[in-house]
Amino acid sequence: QTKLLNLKIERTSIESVLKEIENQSEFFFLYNTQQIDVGKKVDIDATDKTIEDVLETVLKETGIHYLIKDRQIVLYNGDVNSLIDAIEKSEIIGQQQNSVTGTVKDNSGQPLPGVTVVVKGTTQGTVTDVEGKYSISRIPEGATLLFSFVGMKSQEIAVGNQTKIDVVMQADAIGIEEVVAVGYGTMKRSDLTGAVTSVKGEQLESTPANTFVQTLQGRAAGVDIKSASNAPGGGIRIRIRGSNSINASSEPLYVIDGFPIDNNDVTPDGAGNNALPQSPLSTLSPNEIASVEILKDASATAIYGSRGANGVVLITTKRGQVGKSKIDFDYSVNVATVRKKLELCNAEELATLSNEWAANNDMDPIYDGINKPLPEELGEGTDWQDAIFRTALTHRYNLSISGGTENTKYLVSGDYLDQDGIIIESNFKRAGLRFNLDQKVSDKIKIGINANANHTVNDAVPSDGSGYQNDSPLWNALTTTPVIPIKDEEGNYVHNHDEAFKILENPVSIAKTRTDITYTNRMLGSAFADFEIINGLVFKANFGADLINSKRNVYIPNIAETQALPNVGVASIGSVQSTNWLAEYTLTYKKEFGTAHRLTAMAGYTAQSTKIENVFSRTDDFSTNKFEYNNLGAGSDPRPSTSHATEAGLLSYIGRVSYTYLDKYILTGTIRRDGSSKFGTDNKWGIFPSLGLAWRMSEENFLKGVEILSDLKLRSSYGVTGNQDIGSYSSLALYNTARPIIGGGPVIGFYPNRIPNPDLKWEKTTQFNIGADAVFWDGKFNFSAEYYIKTTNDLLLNVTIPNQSGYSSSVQNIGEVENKGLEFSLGFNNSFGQIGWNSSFNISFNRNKVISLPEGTERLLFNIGRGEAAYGRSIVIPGEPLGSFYGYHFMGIWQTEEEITEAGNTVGGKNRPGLPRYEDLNGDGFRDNDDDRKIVGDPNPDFIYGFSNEFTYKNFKLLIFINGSYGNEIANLNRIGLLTQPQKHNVLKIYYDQRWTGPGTGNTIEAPLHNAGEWKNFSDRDVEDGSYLRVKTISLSYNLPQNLFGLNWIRNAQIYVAGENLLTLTNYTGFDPEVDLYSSSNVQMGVDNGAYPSSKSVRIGVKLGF
Amino acid sequence: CESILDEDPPSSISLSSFYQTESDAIAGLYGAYSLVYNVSAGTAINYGELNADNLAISPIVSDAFSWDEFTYNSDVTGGLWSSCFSGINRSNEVILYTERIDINDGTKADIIAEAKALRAFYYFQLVRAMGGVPLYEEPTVGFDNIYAPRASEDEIYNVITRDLSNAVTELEETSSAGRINAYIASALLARVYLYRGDFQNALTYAQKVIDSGVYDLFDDYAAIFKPENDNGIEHIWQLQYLSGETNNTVPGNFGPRGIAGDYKNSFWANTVVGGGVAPSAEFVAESPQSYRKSATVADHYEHIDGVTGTITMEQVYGGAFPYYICKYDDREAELQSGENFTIIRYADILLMAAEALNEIEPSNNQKYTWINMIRERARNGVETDLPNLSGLSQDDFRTAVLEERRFELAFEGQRAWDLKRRGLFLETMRAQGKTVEDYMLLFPVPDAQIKLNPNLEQNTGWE
Repeated sequence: QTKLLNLKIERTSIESVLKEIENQSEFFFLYNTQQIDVGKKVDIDATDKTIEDVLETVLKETGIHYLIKDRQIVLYNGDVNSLIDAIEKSEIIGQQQNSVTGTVKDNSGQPLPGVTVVVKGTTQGTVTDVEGKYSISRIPEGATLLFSFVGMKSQEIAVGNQTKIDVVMQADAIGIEEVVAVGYGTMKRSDLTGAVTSVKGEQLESTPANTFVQTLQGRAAGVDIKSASNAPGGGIRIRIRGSNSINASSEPLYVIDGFPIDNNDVTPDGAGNNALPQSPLSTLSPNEIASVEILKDASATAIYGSRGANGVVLITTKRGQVGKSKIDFDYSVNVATVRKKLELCNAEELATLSNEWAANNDMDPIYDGINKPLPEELGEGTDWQDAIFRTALTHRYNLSISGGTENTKYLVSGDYLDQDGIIIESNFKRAGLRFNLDQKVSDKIKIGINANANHTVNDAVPSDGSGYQNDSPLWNALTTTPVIPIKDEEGNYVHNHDEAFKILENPVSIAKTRTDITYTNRMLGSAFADFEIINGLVFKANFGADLINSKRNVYIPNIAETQALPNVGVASIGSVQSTNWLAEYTLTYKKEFGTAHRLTAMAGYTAQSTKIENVFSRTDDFSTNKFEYNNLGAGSDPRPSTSHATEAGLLSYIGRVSYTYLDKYILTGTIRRDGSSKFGTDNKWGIFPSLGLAWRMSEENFLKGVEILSDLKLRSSYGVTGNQDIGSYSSLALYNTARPIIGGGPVIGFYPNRIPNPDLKWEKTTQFNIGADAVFWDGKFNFSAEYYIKTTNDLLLNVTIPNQSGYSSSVQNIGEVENKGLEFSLGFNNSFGQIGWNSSFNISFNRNKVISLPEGTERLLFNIGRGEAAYGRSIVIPGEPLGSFYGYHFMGIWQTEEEITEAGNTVGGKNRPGLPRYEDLNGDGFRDNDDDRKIVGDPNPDFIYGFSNEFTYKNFKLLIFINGSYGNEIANLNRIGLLTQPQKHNVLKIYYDQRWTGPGTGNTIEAPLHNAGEWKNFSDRDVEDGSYLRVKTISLSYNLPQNLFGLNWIRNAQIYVAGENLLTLTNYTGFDPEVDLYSSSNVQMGVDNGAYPSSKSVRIGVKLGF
Repeated sequence: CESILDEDPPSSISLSSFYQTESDAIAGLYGAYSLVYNVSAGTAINYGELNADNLAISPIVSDAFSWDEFTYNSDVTGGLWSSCFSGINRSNEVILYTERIDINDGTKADIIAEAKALRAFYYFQLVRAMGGVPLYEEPTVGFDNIYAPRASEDEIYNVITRDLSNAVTELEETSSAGRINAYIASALLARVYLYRGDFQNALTYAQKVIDSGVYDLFDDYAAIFKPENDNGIEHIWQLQYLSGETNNTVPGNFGPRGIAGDYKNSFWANTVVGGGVAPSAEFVAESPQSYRKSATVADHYEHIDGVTGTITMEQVYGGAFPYYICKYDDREAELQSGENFTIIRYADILLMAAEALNEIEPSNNQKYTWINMIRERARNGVETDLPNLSGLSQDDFRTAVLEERRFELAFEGQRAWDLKRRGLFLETMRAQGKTVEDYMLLFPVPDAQIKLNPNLEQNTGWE
């Protein structure tokens, strides 16, 4: 040690001087504070002095002696014993030399608050402050510091003799250190044994959608999402690893910040034919979400027991972080137009077909040049699609303020959405306020609250279904004859209403004159308290409520012109109130035993209860349209008001143990015991266990040497979960109401609706999962694969029983469905010079099959479609996937009468030249019955995929997101209705182009010829390939340089432009291949029937952070 | 906290909270009555008329041919089977659980007797259509007894006659419209005995109704079928309807449909369509000229809006067969008719009494009094029409009374049954050119039910 010191200090404590020496040199001091007084103030002015010189000066007159040994300087009070004492205790009383300070930053140079810094192997540690600074003292010899932060790669740094350690944290591309929500707790990804997919909030925000669930589309393997309706606020269909059930719901359980919500439809009733119900999830803004975890296998879902069988979607909303207060503001405007129009006949073509129909049916021409113009005089006519579609604007605003200290973290945010639908007059608004707070009351106690209040206004137009009793702007725009104008010369709406025409209300009139508004208020709130009883043992109590109030106002004015409704003015008010409360108590114990064993154990008890109440009131016959729905008393024909209430309760005991040995071998066992009110009295309680094992092979010595392999984990799990999503009271015999007329008026009679089944219980899903996660080149490339097989038995089925019992069916636990599949995810993340490329791809294959049905039930048939074309069928039959289409086999067009008789039919009715020829399956001629129907399609996809690419260059970011589905078929029921009755309504252009006009003229489309029930013949001609590849999002964003305007109070500023659905490759001829009329059914899938069409759009937005 | 697992539906009643009071028992009874709608009216027309010689499918309709042409399959009775057994099970509930209610014994006995009579009515619908069926005298409470085999026809009829004769003695003489009273039970029992060929008992119970003095014929035949005369002096038991609340579809199916009620301004307002069924050509040809005929079938009607004037059925049917059944012509509310459907009326009782008396005591001239009461009203003062009958042989009277029933009770759901019980069904239908097999005298047991319950045996010929 030859270094010379320079010190010039006045009136400073000896302690400070020693510290300064330590800073300047490698020396460190050891002394016993009980013997040595270092508080004395001294002066020193030393230039290029040796340590001895400095110490002589400082310590003179203090009576303090020193001894220099190597880099250690021991101070003692002259007594040799005290010297020995000092040396002996120097390990523990070693002063500042054993402390480390430093700053933690991210790779962009921003300080990172909230980073955990611990001395590895101990509980000793701290958290970085607002400026990313930390200080940690009394560090033992040879210690290693561990820096960890959510979303960042953890770092271990040996302290050695450093006193200042600055760290730059790298984003965790591998994700193994990531902490993920697992239900009633969190877990490091590396410790997971189950199949869990995480999606970050930023990814969700990049794709605009009605509900956050739609933004998950294509993001997670094994998750199949379709829009049931593209109407603003419209419903969606989501399946995780296929449909498990026939009658019960196959929708996953949604858990928002630990609160399992009841996602049943709470849209109140409305009179007449109305829009499809709005998705309950549409009340939540995608902007509020920090991350979504999708739990797929039994190891992950069994903790949710009787609600886990369909998978679980855990939603974690954004919370305040330690650091300076942040203000974030987003705004975007979206411009949408219909993605595609259908090609229909124009006025001249339709009139030609009408005349041809008349001629074929031995009638005089309809467009004869006398009563009506000749076809060639009509030209194009009205384009009704143009009359109802519009360019629609959507504005979104989001403002959030968040921040926090070590003790208090908060977030307050507000968002507002104003979305116009692409069909005129449809609009959806949502305003939301959120507040959450985390408060450390003491070292032992933490409390927090979440409050989320939303208000939505869904101003809907009727959609979905077709024709008779299902008039809607869309369907009526497709079918209304182009011969008539929108309005007559006096400004009145013209309806498709001539003698030769079917009555169809003017689609513009439907949209403009009918009212259907649903107001929904939702308050989802919870409060929790954590109490650390002893080190590692935390008790948590969580209470919450999800309150939904919804009111729907409907008015159909007395100027409406429909076939189905009494056109006298119909007003209704419907209301639903849903109250869902939760109480939850958990005890969590986390402990590391030595360095080899890590244990997390959790046990808990929860109670949850839901009550839903409905009221509906309707009055008909209004002399004036003035009141709309606001004065039901003013109508002369009040209908009986109805009301209804259901309750359900769930009590549960839960437990989970996760044990990790040497970071290599991981075991997770979960168990849940659920008691549900919905089950029969003899089967109230069910037990749902699961076991998961994982082996981190990359931690084994034999793989340690493989440089490219950063992580490799094999996982497997097995377990049982349940589905209790059946209606309340299904096990009871209830009395339904009948209203026979007795003594001149209606009386109320009660009759039993079923045989009680005290044995009724949950549907049971047993799932085996095996998976592997691999990370290469430090996260530049990662790969996951899963295989699963799920069997669901004890299906809740309406089993047909002999009618002689007085009942036709009974709800029983019979039948089995299987889903098995493969899922692959690939990730790539690298930089090429200044260009960063981050890519992820996932693909999943699910195979669904019905294994068995109740004895005596050969098959179950279901009708698909609504309204006029509602004659499609689907079938559930063992050996085939759920929802298979069931119909006739189209064999072309009957060309001649001989052909008909040769095939064993009599000429007439449906079997005439020019009409479709369907296969006669049972050899008795073609008859309109099930014997001539067979399976004609499968709506289940062979595989679905998502492919996301993100390129960054300097401040630019380009996102290209592709998703798709392959091998699924769609029952295009629109097509049935649009290929019939050209004398009554409009038809597709291909009808005109390809129709049969005589033997040998066509074999695809029938002649316009009266044919009773022509729209009822659902055949494979109406089943189309629904495969598609869609460039769902292309988005380009630019982060403005911070110093651009010299405004350093702006934290970040981004502008972006995004295109949605700009390119879709598909052979599907309907509006959109991503369609499903039935959002909740398991047996009616892939049905397109007047669905609100999808749009393509361009969005421009700005994000500002202060 | 376990209490949240107990289910007590706030807006429904379960068995544990039902059958506590008299009004519960009455509500249960009304529940059982509500299925009479399913087995009368349109169902009665299908089984009793479309399946016989008087009624045919109208030229404008393409479905329901099977009833007219005997081409139905072995599931055709599915609806009747399930409705009757639901009615039987509901009646059985009332019978069993009312016994346990703590109320006045007389009231209790009345309610039980009424439920048993209703059960008998349902069993009668089944047994005459399909022969013996499974016999249930207690409600279904579990899954144990739902696979019972068929009982014999005699066993079923014994239960029917036992319960109806009990009702005759137990029930009050009057009841609110639509509910069974002692005379309704008597009238039904007379009908049952007539089917059984027990003419003595048929006469006895018909006579009870006649002797009561409670019932009489309307003076005007057409008045029987006017909605404003519902529950009139001639109507012994009518299925009750109320326009807009519970609509009778029979008038709309028989008559031309026109403007009515809520359909003002609607598509239907400007539409003229014929009914779904029409009188057969044979009926129109063979029906003797009389006021009654003119009140039964017609070839034109007045357009209801008074603008168009007369519309002929020839126009409506585009030149096809030009008659419709004007009997239930509820022109004010055709698609929402509130006109009651008559299950049994006094004229039927008179004809039953005459028929039975002719079998027991052919020389007793009382039978002419009864049948001539019917004919006199039918001719409505036109003496040349339907002259009074007298001096017929027993055989000729037997034929005469059946003919009288054919035209008096036309389209009221009796014809096929009358032909069947008289053994004339097959020859009559074959004479009309219909292909009817011998085994079709009985309807099939629904095939679907046989699949569900292997203990059921199919009727001969339908296997």
